[in-house]
Amino acid sequence: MSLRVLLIDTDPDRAAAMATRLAEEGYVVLRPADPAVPLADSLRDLAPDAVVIDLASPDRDTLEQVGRIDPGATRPVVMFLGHADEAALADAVSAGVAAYVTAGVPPQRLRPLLDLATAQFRHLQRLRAELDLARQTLVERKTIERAKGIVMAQRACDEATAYAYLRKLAMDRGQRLAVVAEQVITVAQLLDV
Amino acid sequence: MSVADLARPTDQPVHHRPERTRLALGFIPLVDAAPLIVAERCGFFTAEGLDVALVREASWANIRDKVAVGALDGGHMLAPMLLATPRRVMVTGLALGRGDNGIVLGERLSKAPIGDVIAGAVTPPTFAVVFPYSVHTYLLRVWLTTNGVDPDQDVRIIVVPPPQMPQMLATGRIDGFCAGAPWPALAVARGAGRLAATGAQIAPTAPDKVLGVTADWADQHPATHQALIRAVIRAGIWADDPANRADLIELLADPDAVGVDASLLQPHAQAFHRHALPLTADADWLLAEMRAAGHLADAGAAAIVYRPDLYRQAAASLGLPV
Repeated sequence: MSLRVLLIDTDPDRAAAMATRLAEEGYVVLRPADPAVPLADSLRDLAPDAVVIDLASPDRDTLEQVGRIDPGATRPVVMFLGHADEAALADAVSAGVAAYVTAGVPPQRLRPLLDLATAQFRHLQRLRAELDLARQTLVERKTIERAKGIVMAQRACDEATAYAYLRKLAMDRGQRLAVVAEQVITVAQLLDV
Repeated sequence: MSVADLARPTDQPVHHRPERTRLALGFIPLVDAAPLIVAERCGFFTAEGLDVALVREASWANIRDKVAVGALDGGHMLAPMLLATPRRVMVTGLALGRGDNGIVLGERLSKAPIGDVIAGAVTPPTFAVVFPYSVHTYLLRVWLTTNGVDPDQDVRIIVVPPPQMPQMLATGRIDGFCAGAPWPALAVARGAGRLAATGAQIAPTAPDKVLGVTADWADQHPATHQALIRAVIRAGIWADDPANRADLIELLADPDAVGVDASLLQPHAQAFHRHALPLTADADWLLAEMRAAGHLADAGAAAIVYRPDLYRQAAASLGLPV
């Protein structure tokens, strides 16, 4: 039987990716109705088998209570993890995600869900880090192009010579090429050349 | 004592040097996090040789789990959360005041005495609290009982993040709530409800938040723990001083601290340092209420969790009465 998973994520892009991934693994994905509705009501109305929640969501505390102080809740939510799963919990916490199953669902079904959520959070973290790096590289490349243009105009030299000049400058100063290029642009702007 | 006096490094013998100096502590944006915020911003941690990163967290469960797995060294915690047998044994050597809690009622419960409303109601009223194991849950249960309402049968109690409470009260999604400052004041200021009772009226000695760490962390870092407690004691004394009121409000209003309008902050409605000693007797009040709520608290938990000896050691080294 496929588990019905309520997915709560403050980040819409990550939520969409996670929903796809969960569906691929055969989970049925549910989303909370409306932020104006207390999560306790969504849990009662949707009656999920499990919950995956982003740790940045303040709604996490609601999951701690279900069944403990709300006798009207049909199915208490619990984070069933034995001591053997301590490392998995630490890993999930550092990735920024938590998972719960409701009472009646075999506790051993939590671990694969938690692992999947953790892996998905980490995957997205990695993609974003790579994208940031790619963006930075692109910006740096444009900076170096501009600096090269300034050197070419100032020294009336060709592109290869200007590039060699910038590289030597960077090596002599023990700085990255992009940093030196930035300095060249700043100086040119200050001198208005 | 002036700030300069308080922030002066204490003379520590070599063997009392902290085992670790770089620490991360979690907090929830509430007025009773003031001693931690003050300790960071006014240099009390630095004066103890500690480099502390205060991390604003979105939920109590996050703080508990991050402290349990070592992602945080300690944090602002609800005392009952420590007593409710968490995954790892946690201890406290310092209480962070007794809170400034209030029960706010929305429109539906403001027209007539609550008992009458419930008697004539088709659906039971819904109350919100901040966490199942919180002084707010127990204060609300005591207040309901005092008003002739059965907290288990006559009402529904759910957990709602406090920043959402005023709006949910205004729209009738909930009918009342019990939470700590600044949320009751905020709800009243927005016209979402009226203050029905304060925590001080219901149970003046009820403990609220504490500085919690795992028992293992406390065993492994005794000198760091003492330095931490000393820094927060001094910050609490600073925060209690009426002369620092304007500065304290400004610190708390900062978006990275509590982040609400300064006009809604009345930090001196509560005392920070005066209630800093974590008394086992205070825990007994909580344990009795936890048992009454069916929250299965182990009667022996208080003696393990509450460590007044750690407070006394730190206070003595600061020359404070213990």
